[in-house]
Amino acid sequence: MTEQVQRARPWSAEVIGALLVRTSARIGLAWIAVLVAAAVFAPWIANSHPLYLVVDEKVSFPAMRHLTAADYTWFAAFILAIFAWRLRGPVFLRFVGWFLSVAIAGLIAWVCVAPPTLVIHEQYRELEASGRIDFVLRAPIPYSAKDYLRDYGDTGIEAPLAASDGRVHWFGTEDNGADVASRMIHAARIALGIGFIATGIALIIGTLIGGLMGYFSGVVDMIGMRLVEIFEAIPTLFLLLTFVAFFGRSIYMMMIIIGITSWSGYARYVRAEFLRLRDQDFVQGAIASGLPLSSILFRHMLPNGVAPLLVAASFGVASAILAETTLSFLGLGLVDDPSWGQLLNQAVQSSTFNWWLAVFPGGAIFLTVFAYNLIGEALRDAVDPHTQRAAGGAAR
Amino acid sequence: MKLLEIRDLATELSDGRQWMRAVDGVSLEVRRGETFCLVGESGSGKSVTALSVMGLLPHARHRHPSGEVMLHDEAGTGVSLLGAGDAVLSGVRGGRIGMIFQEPMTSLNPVLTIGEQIEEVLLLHRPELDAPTRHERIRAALEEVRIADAATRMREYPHRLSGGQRQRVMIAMALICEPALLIADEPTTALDVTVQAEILRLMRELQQRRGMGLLFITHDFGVVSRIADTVGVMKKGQLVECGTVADVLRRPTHAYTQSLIASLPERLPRGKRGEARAQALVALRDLAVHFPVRRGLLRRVVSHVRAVDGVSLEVHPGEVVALVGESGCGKSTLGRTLLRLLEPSAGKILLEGRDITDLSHTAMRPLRRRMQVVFQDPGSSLNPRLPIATTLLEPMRVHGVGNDEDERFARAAELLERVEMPADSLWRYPHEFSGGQRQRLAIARALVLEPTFILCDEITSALDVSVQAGILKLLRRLVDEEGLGMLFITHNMGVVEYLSDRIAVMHAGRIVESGRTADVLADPQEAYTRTLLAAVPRLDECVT
Repeated sequence: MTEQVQRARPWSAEVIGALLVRTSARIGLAWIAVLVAAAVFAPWIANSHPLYLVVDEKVSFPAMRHLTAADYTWFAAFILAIFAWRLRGPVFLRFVGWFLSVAIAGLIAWVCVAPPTLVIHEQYRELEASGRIDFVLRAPIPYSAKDYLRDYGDTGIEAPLAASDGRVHWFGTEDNGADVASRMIHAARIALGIGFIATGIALIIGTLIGGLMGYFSGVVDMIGMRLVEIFEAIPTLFLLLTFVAFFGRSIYMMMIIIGITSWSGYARYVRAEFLRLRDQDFVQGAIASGLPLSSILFRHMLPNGVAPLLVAASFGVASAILAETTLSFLGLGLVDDPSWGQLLNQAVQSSTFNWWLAVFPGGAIFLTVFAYNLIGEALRDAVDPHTQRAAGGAAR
Repeated sequence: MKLLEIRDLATELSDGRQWMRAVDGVSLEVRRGETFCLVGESGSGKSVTALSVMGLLPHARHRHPSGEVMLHDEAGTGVSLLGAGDAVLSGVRGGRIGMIFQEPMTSLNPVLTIGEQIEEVLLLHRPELDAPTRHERIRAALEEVRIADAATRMREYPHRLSGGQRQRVMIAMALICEPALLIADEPTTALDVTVQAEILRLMRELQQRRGMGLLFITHDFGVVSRIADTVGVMKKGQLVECGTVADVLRRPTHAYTQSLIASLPERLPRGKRGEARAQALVALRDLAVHFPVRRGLLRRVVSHVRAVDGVSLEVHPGEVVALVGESGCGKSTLGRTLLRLLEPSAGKILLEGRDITDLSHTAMRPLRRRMQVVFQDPGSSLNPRLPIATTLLEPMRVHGVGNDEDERFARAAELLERVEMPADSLWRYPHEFSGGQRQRLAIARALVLEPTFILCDEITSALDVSVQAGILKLLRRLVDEEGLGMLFITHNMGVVEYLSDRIAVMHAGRIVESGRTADVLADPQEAYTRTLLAAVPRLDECVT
């Protein structure tokens, strides 16, 4: 029995610490960080509108003026995330606080931000050609995701660095003539968003239903398990195709459908954990102390049962991204908005094989799914008591 | 005649970052026909010593800075085991050294029959035997450990056997190749006391008949006195005292041995007890808990398991009632039903004269602060994700104890002092405490609501004897000073003797005998009580 006193750290800090010492988790998190940076700063990285412009001695910031509500929301979410990270307090509370303030920021942005409805991407290039520009600071990739280069005529698909008229497209262009690098950067938002929101919806439903099944067991458990079996029998992709056919294409609808068809796995995990925890002495002790049900469920049982859930969720994010990509690849994704699957689709559409449309978006999809799987694997090790408790129990 | 010789053995274990010395310069000798008992508290390095001998420590996680382990055969030539190659070791393990482990439930492979598992040992070490001879030997071995109907039992799977029978099978397996040395690592700790008595007698008998050496590891001085010839006491990896059993137990020379023996519950000094007051705090009237057994397609109830079958019991303020019985007799079920954590099938539960048997869960909630509970396992009795402060403050907040957070805090700090814990424990998490400290915190958690009745369900059985002594003293003080009523569920007779005023002996769901502790222990009336008491190993009955 060790009488020595260890550091007083909450479990969440222990897990994060154990996660960060693993190389695979670091690689995975690094790639996700790159994606987050691309998603948040997309309008500053790839934009046809110059960041800073002086025309006829008049100073303007066209990129800022064309920021949409979504741009502002992403930026607010990023700033708030940094803020929440620095704050003290329980991880769960900070996360909920962050989520709520992002929702409020998004709402304000939708109401207040009104970018020009008519977007003319080529106006700056025309201005430059006419020689009226005194000074211009462009984004590193001076093409917007939806800039189809109308002023250059019908350019269409071009291999990387193949344009002869002075344009530089590092990753080439796609079917409509838009810059692939720019579209990929803007598509990072969809990849991140669909993964998190779809998995979030699935987690909430799964935890609630699984928790009730596990705690009450008996009839509740039987009904819940039948519900789980029903939802497991629904083919997600087929349902998505049906909904797209009937209600049109919407990213939010996809998120919700992927979310409500994939909660069954989480429900099974939570149910198993709760069945185990219900007989643990500290839960029995909490009941014997006369604590209310909500406290027993959410304070005493849930935090002790989240470990397998976290692991499953990081794999779930990867599969949600793949589902969206599959849909876009089949040509049933979003119409105009950029998505990696849609770019991948164009690789084989024309008579030639356009390798840059296969390699770059395909690579991004592969790296993202791989990164989430790496994090999931590392998280599994980090929360596993058998790999963690080696320090204390060795001298038995 | 020397059989096993350990000279200056040191073993270091690694957790991946640093090396910790688990065994520190142990020298001992086991002779043929002798039982050597290694005794010590958890973490003293007794198991690691045995595993070092067998070469069973995790690969690359251990090293031996010094030491020598020699296994001598009858001619007197020895083979060195420490750092020997796999070829040498696998010939020795199971062949010349047999080993029995603590947990009979997990040391047999559940998907192989008992016969197949024993046969595997024979196939490895005696490949010259043919199938009929092997079967004959397995049958004989099982009969030797007194497994009834051995020929049929051979073809059965481990789940058909009870814990005691499994341990017998383990012994048969360890002895099938007639090893010169048997190493037993706490082989009876997980067993009931009557089963333990039988197993100990069997081991002693087999050892004498075969003249083999026995290295027996235990933490229980009662067991030591029953089986040992020679005793070695270990503390923090060192062998602090070594001698014949009579010398070490009767006239211990080392201070540590003296303190260990002094902290045995039956040796603890007992103060004068006040008289219990008349009105019963908690009373059970013909309480029964039956679990339905369902079978078949329609899940019809075919019969009931009568876990608790008509029990009447009273606990008065200021007294400790001990509920004693072997595992599976229904004592924990009784405790949980009393707290209304399980639903009774029949009978009444009275709390301070009020019938609480049929109260709804909501109506129960305010009454819950009158009766609190402390559970057995220190590993799971506190929520691992909450700091101690939250665990202690939440019930107070729910029940409206204290006017504001500051007052509750002060109360929690005061309680920690009463259970002899440092006040800065409030901001720590359960994993930072040892088993004994966690049990103290669990007691504080129970006391925080100012209950009048506390149920203690085997709360000291997972603890070392010196830690147990501290907890028992604390409990007795709480009962004497504050007039609490306590129902103490246990299987340890020494604890009963020290702690309790009255005793109730439970067997197969019924209370077979009850009365004042001193009377029942001195003059048991029922046959079952007599068997139980006779099976308890005691320090005073050294084999000579």
